[in-house]
Amino acid sequence: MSHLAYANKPHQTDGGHDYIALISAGFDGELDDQELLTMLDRHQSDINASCWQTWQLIGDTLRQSPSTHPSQLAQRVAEQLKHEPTVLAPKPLRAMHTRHMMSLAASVSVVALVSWSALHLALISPHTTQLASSAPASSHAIQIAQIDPARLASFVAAHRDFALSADSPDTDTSTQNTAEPTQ
Amino acid sequence: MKLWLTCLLFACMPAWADAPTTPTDAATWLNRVAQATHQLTYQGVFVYQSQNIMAISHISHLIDNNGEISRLDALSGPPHAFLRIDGSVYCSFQNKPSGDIEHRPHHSFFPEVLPYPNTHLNNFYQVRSLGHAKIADHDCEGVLLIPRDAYRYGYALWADSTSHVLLRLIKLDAHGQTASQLTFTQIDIGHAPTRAQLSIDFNDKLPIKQSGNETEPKAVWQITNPPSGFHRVTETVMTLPDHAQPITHLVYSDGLATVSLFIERQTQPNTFHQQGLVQQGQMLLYTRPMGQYQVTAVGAVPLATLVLMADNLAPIERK
Repeated sequence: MSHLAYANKPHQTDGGHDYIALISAGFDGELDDQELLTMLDRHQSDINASCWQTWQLIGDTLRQSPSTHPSQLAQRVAEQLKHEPTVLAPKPLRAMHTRHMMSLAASVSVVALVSWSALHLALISPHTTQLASSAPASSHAIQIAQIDPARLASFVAAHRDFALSADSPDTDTSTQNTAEPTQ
Repeated sequence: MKLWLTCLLFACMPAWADAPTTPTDAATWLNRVAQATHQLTYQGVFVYQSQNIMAISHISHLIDNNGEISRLDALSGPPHAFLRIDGSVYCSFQNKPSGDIEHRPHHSFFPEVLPYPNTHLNNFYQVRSLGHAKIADHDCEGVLLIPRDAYRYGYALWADSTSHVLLRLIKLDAHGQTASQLTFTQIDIGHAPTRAQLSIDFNDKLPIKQSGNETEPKAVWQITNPPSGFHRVTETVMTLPDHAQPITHLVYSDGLATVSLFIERQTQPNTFHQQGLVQQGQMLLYTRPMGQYQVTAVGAVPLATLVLMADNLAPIERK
């Protein structure tokens, strides 16, 4: 049975599963405007508070908008339905709803992609920002020093002996030392 | 409802991706890796790469009833090997090398390069998981160590996810790019030659000594206000080739980044009285006069670190 076929059936007030499923379909945008209009027209008085609470609670949970109390929401929706003319927006509701949802999904996707990109950028370039923001300014106008290459090589070699060996492990042609102590 | 669930899934993606897996604590993870790397037996081939320099070496690390023994064989450059037993380093050449070999009496062989134990790294580095990667056919977990201030650079490390032996170490530069790296291309964890096999070629060798004298005197110098995390490692007095006067060598480290300060007394006025900077690859040297001394700070660290340390060097006042 199509939704429209059901919506066009005589008024039902038994609150059966088909009736609940139809409301759910309305929330999910699975009814076109004519079906939704018909459903609202026929079941407006039957949409009881608990039913609205249930579906709106699920929607609110997914939207993470817990500030609205379910009962208030139900009252607000009931009031809205009571006073709202049964003329929907000129554009097909299904298309609007779907487009809105797709836009929302796309936005979330973009946010997710940006988050991924930021995450990867942070991994690739971990402290560029830190250096830019917190690098202590040197008060010196430092110039290039002229150090004897032999002295320089000796200092570097002596330093590497204690440093984390992310340097050349063995050979360095700039060093002057050779080491092969024998008895 | 499906759309809502889809949106919810998308919304949760960044949080899920950023969820802390392992490891989350820098000190704990590094201690575990350092301990495994020191205490397990393994052998393999690793490559050192920095800009246009590449070196290939074979490492054997054996733990037996007599303790620890490591042998490093150069597979590129002049043929030579190092042996380290109980903290003493020996060097052997197959032929007299055409190039020069650095003196390294305290030489630590990769991958035994991490300090252990080290409980303070969390204060100076922020750890971020790099997930898993395949290195030398081993599943590895990696971490990125991001410096919390501008006085040190970052590191990326990968360790075997089962044994926790360190298999790759990348040193980053100021822009977070790779400055140098050491990585295994093949490793056999749990197996190594016997102690006798490792010691061959070294029977007639003596431990490497620093040229001239090297003594550890009573501490004479100190840095009054070092960058956070840097602590004194050692202070020695030695004589380097082409240096007439003994030189005090002061070493500070935060556990990963290391800075050396060389203090020379000027025998004659204006012997080398100068102030300036020299860069050699990632290594920086900053030198300045200080009274009758010349102070030279050396390290693969930001310039601000060297300047701060050299400018805050002072003799220890004895009461």
